[in-house]
Amino acid sequence: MTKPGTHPAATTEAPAVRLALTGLALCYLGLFLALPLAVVFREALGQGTAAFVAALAAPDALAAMRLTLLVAAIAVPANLLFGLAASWLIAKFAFPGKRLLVTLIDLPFSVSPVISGLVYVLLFGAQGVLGPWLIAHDVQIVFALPGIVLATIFVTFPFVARELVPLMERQGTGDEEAALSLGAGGWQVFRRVTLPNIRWGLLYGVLLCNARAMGEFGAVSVVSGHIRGLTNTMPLHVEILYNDYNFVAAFAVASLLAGLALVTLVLKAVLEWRLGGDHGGTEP
Amino acid sequence: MPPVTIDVQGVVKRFGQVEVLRGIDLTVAAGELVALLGPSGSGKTSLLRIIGGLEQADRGVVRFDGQDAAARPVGARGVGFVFQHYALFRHMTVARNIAFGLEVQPRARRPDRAAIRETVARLLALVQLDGLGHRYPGQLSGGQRQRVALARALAVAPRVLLLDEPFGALDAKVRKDLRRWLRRLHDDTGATTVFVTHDQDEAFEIADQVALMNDGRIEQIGAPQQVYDRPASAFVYDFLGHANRLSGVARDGMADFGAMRLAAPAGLSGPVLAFIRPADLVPVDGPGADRLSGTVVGLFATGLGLRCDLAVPGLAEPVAAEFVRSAGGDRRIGRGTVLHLQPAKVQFLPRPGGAADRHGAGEPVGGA
Repeated sequence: MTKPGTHPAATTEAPAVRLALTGLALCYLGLFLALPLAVVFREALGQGTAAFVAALAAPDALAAMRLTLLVAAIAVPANLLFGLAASWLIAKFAFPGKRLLVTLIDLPFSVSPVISGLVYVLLFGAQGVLGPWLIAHDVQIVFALPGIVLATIFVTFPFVARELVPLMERQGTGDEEAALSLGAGGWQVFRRVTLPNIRWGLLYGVLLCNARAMGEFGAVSVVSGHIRGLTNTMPLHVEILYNDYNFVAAFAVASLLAGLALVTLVLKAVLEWRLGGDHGGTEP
Repeated sequence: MPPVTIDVQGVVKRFGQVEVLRGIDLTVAAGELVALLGPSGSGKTSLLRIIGGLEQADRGVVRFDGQDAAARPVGARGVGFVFQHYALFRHMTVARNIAFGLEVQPRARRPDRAAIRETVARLLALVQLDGLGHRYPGQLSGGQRQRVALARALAVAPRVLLLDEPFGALDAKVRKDLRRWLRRLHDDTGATTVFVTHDQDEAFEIADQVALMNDGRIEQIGAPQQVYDRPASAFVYDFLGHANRLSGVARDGMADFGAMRLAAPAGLSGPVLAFIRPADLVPVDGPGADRLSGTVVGLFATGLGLRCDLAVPGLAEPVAAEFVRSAGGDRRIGRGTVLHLQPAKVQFLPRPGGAADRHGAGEPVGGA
């Protein structure tokens, strides 16, 4: 007889196997994630902080940062509203075509971002379907801010909805019914009951949405036209600097994006921890 | 506000292809406590939700004091609803939960802060949770959450209180305490109360009227004692449980069940069912034409009593009899003992189709 506790549980592997698997995973992570990240910061600061700051203070770099922030400031709230409305609809009501809507929301995940950008060019470009009408009315969409915003919204619109739909479906409609029966109106139910129940999930979705909106390259690249100081977002600016062999500046701007990714990662971990409280039906 | 009379007429509800309510008529007198009792899937929760306005009936009306309740939105019906899983707002303290119904009222009707605080304190005392107002629902036990849910529903001074399996998720001891407490609370507040349960002890202990539901219909409604003593259908007998169900044939005022011949009510002939409760089988000294004689095949102690299963020649299934333990002990009962039993009370029902039929056996035709 083995003493209780000395016998390994059925699901536990031998120590050597565990060590090997863990080591393999860590090596993989180090090679493909940590190492490139370290290189980014090393290259950025390779010629001293003065060069780093100068690269970031360049007018084109500042313009790229402003544009990226502006695009995110429009795209993220838009998708926050859309995501909320769509998940509310999907999770709390039954209607024909519901599955189709869920599939459509996932569409940007399955379509290459370059294709999404191209679609907007084909729709709104000079040779596009709506092109002549837009030109006649002096509306510029492609190769301008509206096109970049549209492409970014398209690429990032699943993030909030995908986070909220399962959460709201799990929580059910019990709390809302209770609030209604106590005399609350629709807006009161939403603000006082539904929103607090989903707040961490919502923040989580917004965070991921924002990270993607700021980092999106493919779709934006197609619609932007790469006009320096005008339609270059940060990721596009990094590419241009790199192609100009201006490595320090390229990596300096890239390090900002990498920094954003790290901050996102930390916030994501915090939110996942808080999200634990939102899951699990109507009872905590 | 004075309690209301609830009048449900011809309510039909279907979900897709499934008809969950097939024409419900139910009247609940003002201030009464009524239990909707039935197995799961019998439609009792759907009926409760329709009364509360959380679902719409496909046909039929629900009237509160003679006025069509559907004309008012859920929040304006004066209904307090207590949900099976409480549905407490987990991000609010107990006090905020209870105050919710008052805080969402339009400014003109909303009590001021002091009045709300006072109401919350009074309700916390009423549900015996004084001093727990600052806790969150996650920090309470099941029984405490249930009482918070009740206090929250009572805060808006409902004229009708609806409870869906109020004690379903609690353990046996807490259930017993809480249901007596609910009865007292009902007597104090006086609101017309309807609660759903699948537990007959619960229904019979605290309700003024018990409505037995099966398959979208009300099979029988009456005072607990009346329902227990005179079940109206084979379903009710089966659901209330523990009744022996004997299949036999009636002719010329007599009915034969194996070797036993009983006087049957006049007018009953053909296949019949007889229901006899185990406690209504009285041990006697010798065999007889109107008695059951059989061999004990199983013996169970049931708290104060002793239950015997007897194999009776001519009957397909064993017959259960139950006595107070001392009486049974005196007779030295064991496996293989032959017992003679005299039915003290028998209820006859016609047996449609001749075969054993679980539902809709029709009206009772009297007892012997």
